[in-house]
Amino acid sequence: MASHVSIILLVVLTVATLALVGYGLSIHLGVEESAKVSAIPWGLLVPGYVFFALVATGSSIVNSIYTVFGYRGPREGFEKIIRYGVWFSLASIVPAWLLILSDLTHTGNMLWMLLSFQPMSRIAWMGLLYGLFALALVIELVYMIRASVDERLRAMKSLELAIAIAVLVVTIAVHSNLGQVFGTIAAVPGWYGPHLAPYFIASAVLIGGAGQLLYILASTHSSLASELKEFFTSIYGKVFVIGVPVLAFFMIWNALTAYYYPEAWKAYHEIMFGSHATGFWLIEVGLGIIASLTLAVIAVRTKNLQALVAAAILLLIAGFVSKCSLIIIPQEARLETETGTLTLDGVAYQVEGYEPSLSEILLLAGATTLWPLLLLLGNLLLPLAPNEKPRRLWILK
Amino acid sequence: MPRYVMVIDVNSCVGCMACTIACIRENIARQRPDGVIMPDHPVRHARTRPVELHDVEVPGWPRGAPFFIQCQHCRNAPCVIACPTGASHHTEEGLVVIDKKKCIGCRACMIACPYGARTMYLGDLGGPPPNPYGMEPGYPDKCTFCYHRRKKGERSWTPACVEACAFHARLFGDVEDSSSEVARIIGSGGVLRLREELGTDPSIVFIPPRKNPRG
Repeated sequence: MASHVSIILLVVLTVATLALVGYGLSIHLGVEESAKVSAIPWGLLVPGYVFFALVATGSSIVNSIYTVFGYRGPREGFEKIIRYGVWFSLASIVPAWLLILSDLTHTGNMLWMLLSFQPMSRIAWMGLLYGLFALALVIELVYMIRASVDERLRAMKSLELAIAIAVLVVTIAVHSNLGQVFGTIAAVPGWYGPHLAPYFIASAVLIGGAGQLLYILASTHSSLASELKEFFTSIYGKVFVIGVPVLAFFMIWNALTAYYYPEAWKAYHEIMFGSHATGFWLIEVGLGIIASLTLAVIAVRTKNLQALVAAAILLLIAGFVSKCSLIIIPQEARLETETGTLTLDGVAYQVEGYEPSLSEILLLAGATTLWPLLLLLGNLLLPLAPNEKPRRLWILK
Repeated sequence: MPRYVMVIDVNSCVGCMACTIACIRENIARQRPDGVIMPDHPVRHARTRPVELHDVEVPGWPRGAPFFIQCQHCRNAPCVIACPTGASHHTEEGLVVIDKKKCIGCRACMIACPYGARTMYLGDLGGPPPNPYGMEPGYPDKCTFCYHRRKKGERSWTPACVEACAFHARLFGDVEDSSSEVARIIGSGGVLRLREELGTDPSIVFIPPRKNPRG
């Protein structure tokens, strides 16, 4: 019965993903009217890419609590869910790739990123580091699956630790580089500065942990979920209880540093008090900080799994909204700061605010359906559950 | 080593936009027997375009005085640093140009330019660009100092905007050639380069307004 539901869900998600991405790409390539003249260079697909990339890398940091630091958690829960966690990190990076590749206007020239590698370019490093990140996760997952049936491999503890450390190092390098992609751009004052990398790490741990929790709860049998209730509320609850105030600190710090730099303050003023104030105060602060922290505290203190799930959902919503405002608004504010209104007695073009095009919305929706599709495929094909062994093609169940 | 610069004297500029139109004709518009095809909002995509600053102070620049946005051909160009494939690069003459064969269209160069000089048009222009460095939809676009006009063996050339200006508000030449007019003007002082504090070493030199146009 359960497998029938999975197959139906798989078909629905596949059709939805193909339709959304296919149609989104076709009108994107055909160039819809509204997208001919984009007000800003990096539109909706970039915050979408950053969101998924942070979910993947943040989940990887949560995994490292067990893989690198060896903490097993109550009822040795980490040992039971770790393969789900690694697969979640790996599957979450794919929608990020889809979005960033869709955003390029000449994907066919990407070979030049290797043939003519530019070491000073943060984007060039981003491509290389994401490749290494995925490769390291594949190695880690294969090791874990093989070790479940190979006594000799299981005994090689130093190899296991070396792989886990490599994954963590690449993960932190990805965050550092992502912070530099935005933080080294003096031309966009709202981004410029060293604060973005630690902000990204704090945000990534929260949304990565939140996504991972929801995925594992949806994937495991209710008996395992109730067996590991204490583990979930204790580990993920504490990650949220510690992580949310840290994120709030970085948000305040970002606003404070911008306050003393008028060009950057333009962007933050718009986010906090301008047209995006509702999204900022209601979603980013209200839901993403206050409500999620309250729910996480309740979850930890009363071992309430429902409260923890609610906190995770709120963190994911606020995490996406915050990436949109962080990436879009400073570009709009920069248009104002750098060029003002492009006018010469009303002859020239008037720069207007950004609105996402239909193709961008469809591609983001397609990446969002691709995410559960990949997670479900992993559940169907890979031995991710506790004590599940590979039987076919070396790693398949 | 020559150092090509453009001097723009905004005091001589009457705002006729002949430079902008010449740039569009030279680098952007497709002139076909059935008519001229241009991007939507062609002035927005011109490689030199008049703008008016608001809500921002530029030292030495009176509020409300117009100036032109165009590629500054920085020696230390943020767009070249940001480009992941080397598509944005310096020519042997020190000009910043784009090798479209290498461009992936990530628009990091547009983001990185502190002068907001690069644009990208995504519509259809129905045909090849007017010159090898002309605008092509889907690629970042910017001033090349009309690099396609240079001829082998000749020391300098004349960009279309300079040629079109009837008021001698634009000059182009090698600042290392002490006999050139640009060298004389820059040597006499009173000129300004935009956002020098960023260390970009731009190659556009403005003679700023001598008085505030708004009194």
